[in-house]
Amino acid sequence: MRHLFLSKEWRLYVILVISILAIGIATMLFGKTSISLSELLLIFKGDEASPIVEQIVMQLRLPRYIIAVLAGSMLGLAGVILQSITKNPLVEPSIIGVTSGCVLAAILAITIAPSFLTTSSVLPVFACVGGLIVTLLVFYMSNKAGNGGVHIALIGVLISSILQAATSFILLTRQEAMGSVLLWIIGSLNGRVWIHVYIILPFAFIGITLGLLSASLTNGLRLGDTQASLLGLSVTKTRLLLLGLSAVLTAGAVSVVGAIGFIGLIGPHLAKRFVGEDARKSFPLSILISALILSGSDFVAQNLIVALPIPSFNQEPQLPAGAITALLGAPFFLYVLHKHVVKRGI
Amino acid sequence: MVNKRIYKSIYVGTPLFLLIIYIFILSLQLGEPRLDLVTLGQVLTNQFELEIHRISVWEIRMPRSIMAIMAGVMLALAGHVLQETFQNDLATPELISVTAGSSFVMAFITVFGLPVLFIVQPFLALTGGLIAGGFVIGSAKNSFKRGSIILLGTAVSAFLNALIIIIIALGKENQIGLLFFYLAGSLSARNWSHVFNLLPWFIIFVPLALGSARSLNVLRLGDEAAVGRGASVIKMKILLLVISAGLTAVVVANCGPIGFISLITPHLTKRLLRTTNSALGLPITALLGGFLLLTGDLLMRTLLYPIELPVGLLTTIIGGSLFLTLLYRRSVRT
Amino acid sequence: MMNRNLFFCLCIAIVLSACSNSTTNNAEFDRADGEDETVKLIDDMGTELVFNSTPERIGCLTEICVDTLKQLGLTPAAVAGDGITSEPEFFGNEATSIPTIGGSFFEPNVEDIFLQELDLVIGLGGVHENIREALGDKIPLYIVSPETYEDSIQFVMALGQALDKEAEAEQAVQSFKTHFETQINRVTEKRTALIMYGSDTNFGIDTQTSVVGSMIKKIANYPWKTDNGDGGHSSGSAQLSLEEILKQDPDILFVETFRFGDDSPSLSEQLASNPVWGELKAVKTDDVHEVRTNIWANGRGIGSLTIILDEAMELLYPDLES
Repeated sequence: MRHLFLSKEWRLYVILVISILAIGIATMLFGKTSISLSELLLIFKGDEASPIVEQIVMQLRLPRYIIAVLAGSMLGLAGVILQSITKNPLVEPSIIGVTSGCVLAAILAITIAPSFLTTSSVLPVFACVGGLIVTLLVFYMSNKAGNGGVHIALIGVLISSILQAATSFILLTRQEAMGSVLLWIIGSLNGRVWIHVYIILPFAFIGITLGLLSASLTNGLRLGDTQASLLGLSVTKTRLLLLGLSAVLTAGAVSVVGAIGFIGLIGPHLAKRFVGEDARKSFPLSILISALILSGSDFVAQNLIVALPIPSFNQEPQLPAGAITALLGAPFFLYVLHKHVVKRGI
Repeated sequence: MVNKRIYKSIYVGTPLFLLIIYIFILSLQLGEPRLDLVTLGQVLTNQFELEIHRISVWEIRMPRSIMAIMAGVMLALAGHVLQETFQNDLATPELISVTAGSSFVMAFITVFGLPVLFIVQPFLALTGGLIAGGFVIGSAKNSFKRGSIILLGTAVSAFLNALIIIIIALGKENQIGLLFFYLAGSLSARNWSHVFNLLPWFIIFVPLALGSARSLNVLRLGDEAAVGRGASVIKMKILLLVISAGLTAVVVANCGPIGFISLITPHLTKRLLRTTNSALGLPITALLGGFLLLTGDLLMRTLLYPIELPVGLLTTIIGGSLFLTLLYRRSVRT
Repeated sequence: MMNRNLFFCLCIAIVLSACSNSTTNNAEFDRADGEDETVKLIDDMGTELVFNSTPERIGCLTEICVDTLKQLGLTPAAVAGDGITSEPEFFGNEATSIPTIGGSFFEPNVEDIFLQELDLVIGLGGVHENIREALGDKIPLYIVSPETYEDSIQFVMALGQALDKEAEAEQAVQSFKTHFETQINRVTEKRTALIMYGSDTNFGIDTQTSVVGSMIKKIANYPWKTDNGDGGHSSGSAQLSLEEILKQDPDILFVETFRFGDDSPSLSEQLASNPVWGELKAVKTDDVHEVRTNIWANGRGIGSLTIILDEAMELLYPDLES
């Protein structure tokens, strides 16, 4: 029986990995120009198919897909870590204001030294610091204010509205920063290439490794504070470590793909539904699910052209990936809320 | 004991009232042209010839200042009622999604360049706000436990904000600039027609809010005690929620989302009066709200003249920081 | 407490180490390889673009590019969005045959840019810097960021030089300058004008330090400026106090807007019903004019400026003899 139980979770891993790869292949194949599977194989073998198509696949679609998978994993892991620490299913980086912190810090950096505009590799440092400060602030305040569940979300919302006002302030007084602000708040994978993969990769590597290693620590925390300290865990230290980790994961992802919201909410929730609360299972699962969601959303975003029935607006725009995740995620948030709050009353 | 508190609220309320009148007069004087008191008196009694003075005072400054006081009073009351209803001092009417609903409508009109008459725009925004607020209130019937309705509102707001960001992504520079001005919350260039948009709501909902003090005091005893007194808690809460949404919706529709007035004023009131009795607190909250918004707006329109920055930025940044400090200091004490 | 600080430092250390890793990887990315005889072009951000041969296929992410190419007698190889391309003065019906770059104004679709096999892409400062990395060194990106009409003239010269169309550029600039000069000389008494967009309560204006504002200033009284002194930085639009507008009392308003339907009140009527706007000379004398947003707000090139100049002169001084 035990074998069967284990295999269920491995079956899930396999299914998810296959789906992620399938999305990957679809991403390579479809877009403004579609190519056939055999052409794709030719390109990967290194045979010249057509230089333009090869460039599009190798220089645009492949890195973009890798970023989608990495950023999705990171946001999913950040979400599941935050939810485990707070024991609150509603907590997610963008909801508690971490992404706003990243954005504001980056914008400040841009306005103080506009030359950062051209070197996007420096910006993540600032975004990291901003995200980290906000995370610590939100947790510190909600700890002090007590009543963790409802308060952490509210404090997050309030802090993020202050940060957004500060961002608007900069924006309205110095409009030249507008383009870069929008880039950050929209949340999109358009135009992300290998250079961005290199930016996100160290964050992803360090963050995901540490995250997976800390799964058992998280399990320890779940037992409750007294029990955890009996096990020799310093509760405060562990919590701070995990918090820092989730901030790093969020900042790394946000600094490359912008404030894509709600990803850190869906993955963890589904993962816990499948495998329960055990962090050693729910962490990897939520990483995979979130990676699937973001890469899938980006695939949809790339292939969906919206014709708006508005006479004065005769563009046929494409939506950014952040739009798709928001359209998926916000109703999901409502659903989770309904399930946890309305029925059980947290 | 009760008498002492009433005196206290009079001690606090009277100077506050005088202060509002003082700033109101100041707001009529300052700007371009700047008027001394004598000239202002002449203008107000229509004895001054220059047309530009008359328009500046009667058509620009006065409606705007009155608007600021009214909006401040309404937002502050909305916040007080909501915080008391849910016994949660982090609750603000922004969280019932009224704000996000209105903002969404305005974003849609601005970015897609819909040919909507200027005068109709506030009403469409109001409709958007009321629909969003109504959705939250309506779907929250069973979730009055411990303020979880506020989380529900947060979720709906998050959804609408995501839609707004999508719309932003589709716009061009000028449209986005305008939209950011609206989304920041501003009183600039508001005139009598906006005052009249606000007026019926002010007349209906402000007395209702002030009159809700007794219900709020009953709720403060806790749900069970309230039921014990024969009150239908759910009905009462829905009514209070509707009052709060009504106060907020019309302000947001006409001025955009002016943040943190509704969050910070009830806290200040409690600190000033050192009582949680709503009958005494509500009027002071109202006065404080009017005072804060009027002062804030005066600052924002005179400091950078001829440029104006939205007052909502000031209230959010200063009010927000103040709020965090209060929260922090209270938590240190306990 | 000590331990907490320690952990905080640890977290920071993780962050910094992660970030510093990332900076090493892109060192060689911006290097341009050009040893033969080459054309060099420095854009408004100070980035140096090097071409081995004259660029021929040019993609326009912003209107000033379309505008300027038209002046040089060229057609863009691809354009983004619904801009001035289809305006009758530019490519009119021909516009439908010009491929479009999808996405939105702030995020043009990079895949489309690759597909068009462009030699040069021209984008707007403050908006399109972000895609430089995505385009890599294969497709050079020129960021143009005009702040006055003189910058627009400069851009024509720069582009003319880069595209081997110096004669055309010279001629276009010369004819613009001559025409501008003539128009300036025709003006005997300057009227006060204001260019604005938005509605009566939420509106923005073009200041003296914007492209169009700087030009209109020469043919009309255009007193709108901000005291920040950072005119070089802001895009030249701002939210202005109504009191200032009342004080300057413009004779004529140009409003960049959508068209209201036939049966709804016109813009003038709407403004007239506003007690403050209604007091302005421009509104009282019904001198409020809806102008094409594409050309007045987005155009920025000397082609658009010529149109604006003519339209403005016609509306400002209808009684002047030519």
